[in-house]
Amino acid sequence: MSNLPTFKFYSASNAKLKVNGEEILASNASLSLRTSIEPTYLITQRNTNDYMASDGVGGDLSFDYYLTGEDYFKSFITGQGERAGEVTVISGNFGGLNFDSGYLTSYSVNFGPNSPAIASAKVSFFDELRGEFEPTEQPPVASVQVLNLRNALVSNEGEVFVSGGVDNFVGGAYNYTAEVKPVYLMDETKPSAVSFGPKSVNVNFEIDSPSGYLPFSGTRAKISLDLKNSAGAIVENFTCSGVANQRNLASAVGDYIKQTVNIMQGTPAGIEVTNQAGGILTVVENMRGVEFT
Amino acid sequence: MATVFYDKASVSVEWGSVGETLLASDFTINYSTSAQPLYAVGNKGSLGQFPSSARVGDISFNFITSLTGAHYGQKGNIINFLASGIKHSVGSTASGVTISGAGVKGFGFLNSYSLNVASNSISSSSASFTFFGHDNELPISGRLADSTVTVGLGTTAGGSLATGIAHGRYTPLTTLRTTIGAGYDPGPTDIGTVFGADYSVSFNHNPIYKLGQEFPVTSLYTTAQESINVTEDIFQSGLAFNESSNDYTIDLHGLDDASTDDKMQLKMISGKQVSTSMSAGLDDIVRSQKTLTASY
Repeated sequence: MSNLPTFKFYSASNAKLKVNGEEILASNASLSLRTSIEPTYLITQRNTNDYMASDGVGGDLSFDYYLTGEDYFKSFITGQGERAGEVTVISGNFGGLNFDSGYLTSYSVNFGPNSPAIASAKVSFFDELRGEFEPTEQPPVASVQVLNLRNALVSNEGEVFVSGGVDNFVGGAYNYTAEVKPVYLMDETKPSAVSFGPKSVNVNFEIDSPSGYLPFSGTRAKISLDLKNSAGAIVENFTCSGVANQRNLASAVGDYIKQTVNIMQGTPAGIEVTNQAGGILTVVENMRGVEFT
Repeated sequence: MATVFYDKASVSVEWGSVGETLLASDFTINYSTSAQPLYAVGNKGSLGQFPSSARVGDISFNFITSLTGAHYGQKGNIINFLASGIKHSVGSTASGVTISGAGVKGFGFLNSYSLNVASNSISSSSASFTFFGHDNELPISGRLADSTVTVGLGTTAGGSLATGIAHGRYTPLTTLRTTIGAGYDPGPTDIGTVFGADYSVSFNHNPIYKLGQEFPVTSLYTTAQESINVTEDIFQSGLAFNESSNDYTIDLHGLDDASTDDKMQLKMISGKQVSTSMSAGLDDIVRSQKTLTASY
């Protein structure tokens, strides 16, 4: 019988990450849990050993993962909270510790030349973690194909790209953020509903042809990036159609002049924004057909 | 099977309408791809190996310092001509050169060039280039085969094959010697004797890669660093905190001291002495070394 002490330390290979029951090929993952406990003081007290919860318990699951084809998480960008009851709750499981009240609050993909396509996601959940940590020992999954930005195709529209004649896209990022707040009813510690706040999508890309063209009211712009597999078939697309609102020009000794342009989109649900010669923005949300003037 | 003996594996460099077959004593070509293992949490072992950067190649070779060629009026071998051209270039877009050896060729950017010259010795040089490729052109192409160009012999200047060689016998390098004195009349008290010098220059290039394409759309030349290590018999103990800048010219000569064509020139602009050292060993005089550096 061994007298060696038992240590409960595990390696990254011992904890599987699953979202809605699907295994995620994540290069890293972190799970955080927090409460909202505050000290309770009486009027006559300067010190206290009493603590009370002032809000619900919750946490975040953040992870980076390789894109191998059509991205499952992109489905959580659109159609979440736009209509009553139109919400897909995300369940997560990391090494056996699990939750079932998660919502995608941020998502981004970085695009670098000749680099594997890697996405980052953050799921916020509003409940306690359940389960026990259960280490697993499993060989790697069968052969996978990780998409590479070498096999990407970038297309663009808008005056911001016409100015100077932009031909080359060096790199960039696609970012999505959503504000999600829990709605608690009396006697609830796990919210029965959530409230979606503003959502936004933006992309920023490093481009060639330095230019200072950026009108006061921005300018309509659209970038679309197709990701292909090794066979040349398009398997994923990232599009941002909105207004160009920022340009940045920078350089350093020994480096070349880098110019980036930022495009923001107020909603991921197929917004169309037009801006003709600095006129009033016309926003048409294609789902409801409402026009703002 | 392509069996190529060394006498059919010459190294040739072409730039625009000029070209030269160098007196190379060896050359090495490397070609590599990046295969990076990817791992996922919850999985023991790698998911596989995936590319994370573009393929690149390089070539390095040593060659005898030939000096009887001439390129656009500049005497000397084509590597010296290229190094001088890049070093003094005010443009940013670098133009590569085609380099071939034993049937394999690539479009390379000069990384480094060095040469040495010492008393009574044949001068030797070395150079290295990086192959980045361009748009849809591979960094390296071709297969092992006999080179059709062979190195000829002769001393005629201006020929495509420059075979006059630099030698320490008639290369005094007096422009590099150290002169020190007390600063009072009757003037300098000590003038160095130069025994040898090692020259090197390195260039930094910045290839610009874009999305959706493996090889760069262009390559930019950014900076260059140059140094000369001079071996002599004077120790400069008065090395200043901020040494003054000087231009240093190296004239390399062959064995035909009567010929005016027999010269290759290098020029360091605004070089500063940055170090000095001396060492003594058995059966030898005390020798000192100083390092001159310049940046472009």
